[in-house]
Amino acid sequence: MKLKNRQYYSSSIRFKGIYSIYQRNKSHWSGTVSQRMSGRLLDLFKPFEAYLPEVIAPQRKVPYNQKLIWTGVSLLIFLVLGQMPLYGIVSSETSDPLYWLRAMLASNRGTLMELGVSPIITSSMIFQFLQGTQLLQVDVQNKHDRELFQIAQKVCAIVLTFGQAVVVVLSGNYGKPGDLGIAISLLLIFQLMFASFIVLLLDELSSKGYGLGSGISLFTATNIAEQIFWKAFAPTTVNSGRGKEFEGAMIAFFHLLAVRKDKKRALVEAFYRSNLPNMFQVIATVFVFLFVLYLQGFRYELPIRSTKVRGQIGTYPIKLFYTSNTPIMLQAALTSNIFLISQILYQKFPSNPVIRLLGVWGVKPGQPGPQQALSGLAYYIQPPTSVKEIPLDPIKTVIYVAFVLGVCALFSKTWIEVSGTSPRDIAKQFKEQGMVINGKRETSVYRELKKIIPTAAAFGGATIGALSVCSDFLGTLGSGTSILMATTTIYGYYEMAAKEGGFSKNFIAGVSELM
Amino acid sequence: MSSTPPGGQRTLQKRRQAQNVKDKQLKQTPASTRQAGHGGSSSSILKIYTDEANGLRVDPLVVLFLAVAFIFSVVAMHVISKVTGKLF
Repeated sequence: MKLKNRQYYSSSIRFKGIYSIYQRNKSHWSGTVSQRMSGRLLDLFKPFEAYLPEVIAPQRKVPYNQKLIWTGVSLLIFLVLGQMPLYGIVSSETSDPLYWLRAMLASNRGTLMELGVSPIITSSMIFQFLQGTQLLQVDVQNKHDRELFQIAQKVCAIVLTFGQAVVVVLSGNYGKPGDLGIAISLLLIFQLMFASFIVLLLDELSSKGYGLGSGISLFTATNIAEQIFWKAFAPTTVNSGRGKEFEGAMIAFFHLLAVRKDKKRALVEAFYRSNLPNMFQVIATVFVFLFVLYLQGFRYELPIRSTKVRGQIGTYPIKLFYTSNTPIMLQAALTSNIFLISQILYQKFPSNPVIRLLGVWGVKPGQPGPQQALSGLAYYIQPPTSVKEIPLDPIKTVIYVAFVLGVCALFSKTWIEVSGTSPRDIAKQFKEQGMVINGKRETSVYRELKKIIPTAAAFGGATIGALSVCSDFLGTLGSGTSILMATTTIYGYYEMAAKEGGFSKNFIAGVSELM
Repeated sequence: MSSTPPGGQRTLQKRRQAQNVKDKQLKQTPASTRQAGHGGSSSSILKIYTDEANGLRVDPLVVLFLAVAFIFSVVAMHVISKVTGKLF
């Protein structure tokens, strides 16, 4: 009850607040019309406020065990949604244009999770970039503004879900809409929408404090982990002319060792078979995983002290992976969008010189699998599949590595500005909390942070990019990007769990010594 | 255990700390991922704000039931179509 009262109160004084802000920024706002328009842009979403479902935030702190249970249950639901085929599909055997995006968006072809988390991620990215570029004037201190911002995100996500569902069904992904009939088409759209809506609610439930953290990143990480696990332990068999072979690397390894008479050759085949996942890939994956975990511990510790409470000293850690997996996610999103557009354009106009410059697509001779870029811009930013490609086209390798590292560093530096973790923001927070750097003047906090944070962000981004490139060259199970994303997410969850006190003290000390 | 008399400096300090914590909680909910507890870096690309809007409020259990009911209805549709295909 108390909460409600406060909200009414805040909404009644809101006008005054906004007016005073307007007064203050009058000279700034009256500059361009577009800025004033966008001030109202957020208010457009106000009518939706009363109708959008919203998970109630927990009244008090949810105990750790309950958090674990909620996380587990929502994960289970997500996984079931990801395996349940849609009702009413005729076929889903056409070539998959979204192949590059699937792992990142936690979506599975032909299942209820066809859209995955893509509408949510897209809307959240759109709004955060709008805010980062100051096109959307959100007053972070104002509670009502923040609420509106969230509502706008949610409305946008729902609209995007509807749009994507309609496009997926009408574009003939599941058979021609004419063959399906109107009723089944509507049913398909409804299923896709409702499934995405449930994911939206599950994510909200998780991030509101019932779960351990953001649901989206958890779903993505789980999907990737599931794929890696499947590639290592798949019990399915493939018959390609020379008898049945197990798809899973580990299972094939033991099977070959047990069945074949010539153990040496069996070992060689289990480690180097090129048509299916092999043991070498498993080892590379484990190696990359452990190496990323090791790098996660790298941090610069800034000694700080409080000016409000004397004698309170501590450290402020600035991690090497300052922006975590954000740069690699953005880089993957960028490249997959370029691939998507290039592929579609190439299918429509295969002989246009400009489009051929963007990318020429086709299947490489002797290599199964999806279409690949054979030349053009898309070819140079396409991740390599093995070390063999380095000597074949060294120029491509150099360009690719430079592109990934550069883009990651750039995105990382941009992201700190957008997400409110730039040196200026941190310095402001220090000032609010009365923290200063030990042994430095109070006025030089910003200067010190400016020396450290942008460098850490850029270098961290480049490191993440380098790791991704390396794991692509090593040929890990799944792409390097996806492994990095899974590892960083899982580590983030581990850190959160450690902070919550879910593990015993000894365990953390032991692990941190290990790191 | 050394027995210290009650009151004095330490109690004052404790009270002040408790008051500080209370103030912080009373103040607004976190405005950035960093304030929300991801110290030193922004760990997630998603969800800057986790505030409560006063919309249609849903209990988390309702979400669970909705999800399970939806999954069951889709399964039921599959089963019904299979069974009717077999029968007629």
